[in-house]
Amino acid sequence: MRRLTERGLKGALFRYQVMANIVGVLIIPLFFFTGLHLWLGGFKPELAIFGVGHGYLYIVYLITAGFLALKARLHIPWILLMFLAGLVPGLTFVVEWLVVTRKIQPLLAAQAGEPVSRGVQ
Amino acid sequence: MAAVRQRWLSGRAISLHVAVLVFVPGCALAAWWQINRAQDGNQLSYLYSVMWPAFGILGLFFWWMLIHTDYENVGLKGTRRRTQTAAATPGSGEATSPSPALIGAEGPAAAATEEDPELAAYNARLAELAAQGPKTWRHRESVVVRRFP
Repeated sequence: MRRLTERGLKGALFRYQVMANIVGVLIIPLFFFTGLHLWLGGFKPELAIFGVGHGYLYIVYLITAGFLALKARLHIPWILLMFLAGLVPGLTFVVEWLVVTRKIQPLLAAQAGEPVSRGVQ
Repeated sequence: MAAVRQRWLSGRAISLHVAVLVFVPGCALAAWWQINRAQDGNQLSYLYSVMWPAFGILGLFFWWMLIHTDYENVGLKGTRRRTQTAAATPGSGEATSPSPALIGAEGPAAAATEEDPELAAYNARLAELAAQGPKTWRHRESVVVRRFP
């Protein structure tokens, strides 16, 4: 249990950052190819690949973001913000930057200043 | 009993229950809708009819984890509080749980120096690794194989 919810904050942060960038890049063609074709007509079944790809990678993104939030003990508004950012184009980059600078870096600094937890992260 | 009530019936827990009670049946409805569409011949819906149950299961999992995590002693506030209490009572933090670096550097290695040089070198290597902190992808241990003649 502690392995899931306390240790390995840096690894969880790295996985979250990777998935935030992948999902944030993939949602741009989803909106501007698939979405525009759905709206203006001329939809082809091949265009759905962006929707399905984003949908499945969004599940992986949710897992990484959820575990980062658990390990950093983020509160529910931050968790909702991280989860919903994967559905809006461009927002994952902003939210990832906000989470890292406002929440994770202060926590890592506090943990580094604490002598007891230095060896058992 | 009070702890159970605090865990399951606090304001935060109630809002989590409401969220999961809205979200999981919503996912089940969407999954049912996509399964029906897939049976009507929409091939894309086979993919979505797997995706929606996955969202529901994830919602249940994180609801359970968020109910059962301790927000008092871990995280930014908890870490700062522990640092302050350790600073207020000097020596208590080291006495209760000494760091592995301290054990490796002073305990066994110092005692073994007069016994066996190979064992001392091994312990010094362990202390060096412990001082580097945990092994992660970015801080891999650089394993140096030393042979003693």
